[in-house]
Amino acid sequence: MRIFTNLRLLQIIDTSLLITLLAGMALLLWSSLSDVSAKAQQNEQHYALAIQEAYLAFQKQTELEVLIDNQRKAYDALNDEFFRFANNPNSDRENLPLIRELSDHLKKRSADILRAWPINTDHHLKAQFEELTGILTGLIDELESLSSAHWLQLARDAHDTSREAHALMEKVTTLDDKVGQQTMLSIQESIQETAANTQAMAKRLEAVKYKTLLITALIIVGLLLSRFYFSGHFRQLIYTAQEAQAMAEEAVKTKARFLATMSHEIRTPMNGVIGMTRLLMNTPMSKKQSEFVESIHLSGEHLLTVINDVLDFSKIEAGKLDLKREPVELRACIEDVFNLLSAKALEKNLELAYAVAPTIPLFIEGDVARLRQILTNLIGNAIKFTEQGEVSVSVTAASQDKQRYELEFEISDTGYGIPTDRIDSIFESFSQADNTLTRQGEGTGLGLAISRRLVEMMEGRIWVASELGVGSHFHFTLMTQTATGKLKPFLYPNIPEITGKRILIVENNPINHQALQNFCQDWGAITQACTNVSEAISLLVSGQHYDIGLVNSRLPKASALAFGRYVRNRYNQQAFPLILIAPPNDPHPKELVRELFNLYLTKPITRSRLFDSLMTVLGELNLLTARTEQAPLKLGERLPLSILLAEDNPINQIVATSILNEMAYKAEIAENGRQVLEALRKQAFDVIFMDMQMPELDGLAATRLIRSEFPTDRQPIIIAMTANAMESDKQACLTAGMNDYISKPILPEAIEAALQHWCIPPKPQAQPLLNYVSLSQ
Amino acid sequence: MSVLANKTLELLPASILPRLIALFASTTPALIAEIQQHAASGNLLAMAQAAHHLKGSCLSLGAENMAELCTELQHKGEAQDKLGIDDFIAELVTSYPVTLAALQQTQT
Repeated sequence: MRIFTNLRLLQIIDTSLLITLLAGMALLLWSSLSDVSAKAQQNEQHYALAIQEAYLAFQKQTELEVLIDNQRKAYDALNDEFFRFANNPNSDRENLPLIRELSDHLKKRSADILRAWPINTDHHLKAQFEELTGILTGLIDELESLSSAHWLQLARDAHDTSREAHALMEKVTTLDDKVGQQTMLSIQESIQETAANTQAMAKRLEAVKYKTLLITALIIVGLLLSRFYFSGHFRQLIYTAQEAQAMAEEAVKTKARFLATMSHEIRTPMNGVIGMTRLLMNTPMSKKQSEFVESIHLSGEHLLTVINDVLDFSKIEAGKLDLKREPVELRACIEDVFNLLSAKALEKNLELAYAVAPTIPLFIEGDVARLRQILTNLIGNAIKFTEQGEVSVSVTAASQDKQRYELEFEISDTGYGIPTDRIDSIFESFSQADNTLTRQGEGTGLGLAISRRLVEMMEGRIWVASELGVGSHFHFTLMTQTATGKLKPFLYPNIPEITGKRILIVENNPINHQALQNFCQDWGAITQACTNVSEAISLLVSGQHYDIGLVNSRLPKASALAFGRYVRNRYNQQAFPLILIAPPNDPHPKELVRELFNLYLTKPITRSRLFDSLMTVLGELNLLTARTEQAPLKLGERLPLSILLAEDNPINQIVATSILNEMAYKAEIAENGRQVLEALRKQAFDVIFMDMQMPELDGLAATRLIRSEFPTDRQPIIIAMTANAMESDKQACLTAGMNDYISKPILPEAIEAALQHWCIPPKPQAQPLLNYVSLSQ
Repeated sequence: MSVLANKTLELLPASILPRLIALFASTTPALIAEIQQHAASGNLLAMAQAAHHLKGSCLSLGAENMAELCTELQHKGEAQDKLGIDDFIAELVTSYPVTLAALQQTQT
């Protein structure tokens, strides 16, 4: 069911069902209990009423009994009096008042009884009672009117009547008993009814109990069913979610694999370029060539870094980039970037300068590649968007806490500037300040975004201040601390050759001005800086003496040359050497410059170049380079040989030639035996490294032909190179006329050992095979 | 017998390794195909030569396992012994990507 794929909906349905069930249960309980409660209330009322009635009836009965008793006593008293009156011969009228009194009493009592006569009883009895009472009370009147002779008779009648009345009273008593019985019955009935009601209520409660039990059971069953049902769907949902998660993870892995593959695919040829360049750097070259190769090398490395960084961007995005913590030579790092970018800056005649505050240690902790990346990006951008003027970098310590520093870098240019509305978005991915400029500089638009992220990773921030048409100032900070690293010679403070030397600096660019002073002072020199020629001349006029002069070629009005002339009129090149700081395309006539200045210092000014220049003019450069370059001579330099490599496998060709190149040998290559013979006919070779199995003509056959066809003085040393490591193969080689045998893989040690063995001293006789050939076994 | 003898690689100039690995990647499939083809057509001597050629590459790069397989194939081919050749070839085919990956791994 589609609707149950929504977890929230499921929860709502589940909860609603639960609430409905509970509400149903509560409602049923409520109605049942209300019913029982109403019944109980009714019962209680009924019961109270019955009790009340019983009580009233009982009261009435008691009252009636008293009345009956009184009546009976009144009857008896009247009867006794009548009897006495009738039977007493002395009775006279004087006794009558007593009888009348008694009769009146009776009348009163009778009235009382009649008043309390139970309702719904025998009317006949009541009439009889009234009649009898009437007779008895009437007797007194009759008595008073009769003569005494009749009194006896009348008294007897009265006595009879009285007895009748007495008997009647018995009947009335019975009546009263009946009332009492009725009351009892009524009470009993009421009790029975109450008991019955209570029982009914108990039954009802029992029923409620069972109903509740049943409903609860139903609810439980319902809940179980719903839980079961929903848990099934929950499981399905969880399963779906897990499946989605697995898919997502798989996608991430696929992406990572893709990136890894991509990076590898791109890096491999780049590594090839760089590696080959490195090999090239080891070959003898002119100075110009060396510079070019160095440039290729730097560019290659930079390109590789860029490739890596573009790939790293995804790493940063995924939070998977780790910064290294290694000693970074901050100044060298900036100089490296300058070297890398100087060609571009020179194309536009831009000044490149940097200054690092002297308080900042030589080595800071950080990731040099990442720092270089940020700087390359920012400085590169500055150069890209600046048509004239200068690009400068300054580094200051924004704050310092013992060994910890917050460094602030400022990269300033005199370029177009950035429109205000672009400043905020400039550090976003794929954003460049001006799309029209983008075409000019082939950026990916990722540079600043990467820089921002890198800076943030270095616990810093990056921002820009810019004014259209005036230039931009990119700032970034980073947290770092002092580190210790291996110093290059020019990074040591107080270089003995420079210490104490007085250096005059004539430089109008404030940043270069600062940099030159900082560098020279670090090496122990005493500097005097001026911003123009007249200032410098007046210093000289005042009798100051300097050991070296550093002069910017771009002083206004070509005054650099004027200063040179002034100095040379007074000092020769040894007494006061002058160095002209100039871009490679310096417009001043070279011959004139050479006449006046000891040498050029090519811009941009870096520590290493300045150091080299100073050491050169101080005549001590050779001393220093001799100190740093004392590598042993390579075999090829000590033992020059012409070598032919016969090998058809391109991999092995590269391996063998590169190993030979490392030893300063340059090998010719033949792909088969026939080519070997052709090559040997053209020129003599000292050594042939010969693969055994080659197409057309194999190594053994070629060797036999060489040994038989060529004169003794053109016989080369032939060293087999083969992957067959069997003793029989070795024998076959020797039998065919080879001198020695190297097993593959070909290793530098084996080649070197073989060459040394066979070529020093010159060409000994064939000797038994040595151990070095069997490295792979 | 390891897939890759790193010692051999370490002894080579680091700068040429990327190129060597790229060459290995581009030439080996063709050589394996040649070995398979010759084995199928029964030209065992030709197969032995192809195996020898591949062995040379493998040894240079320290691909010991593949080199060993090539040696076996070469010997069997030279001895005109068909027995078990298919197994060796199959193993060679599966060993190649593993070896290439191991080689590429050294460059990352």
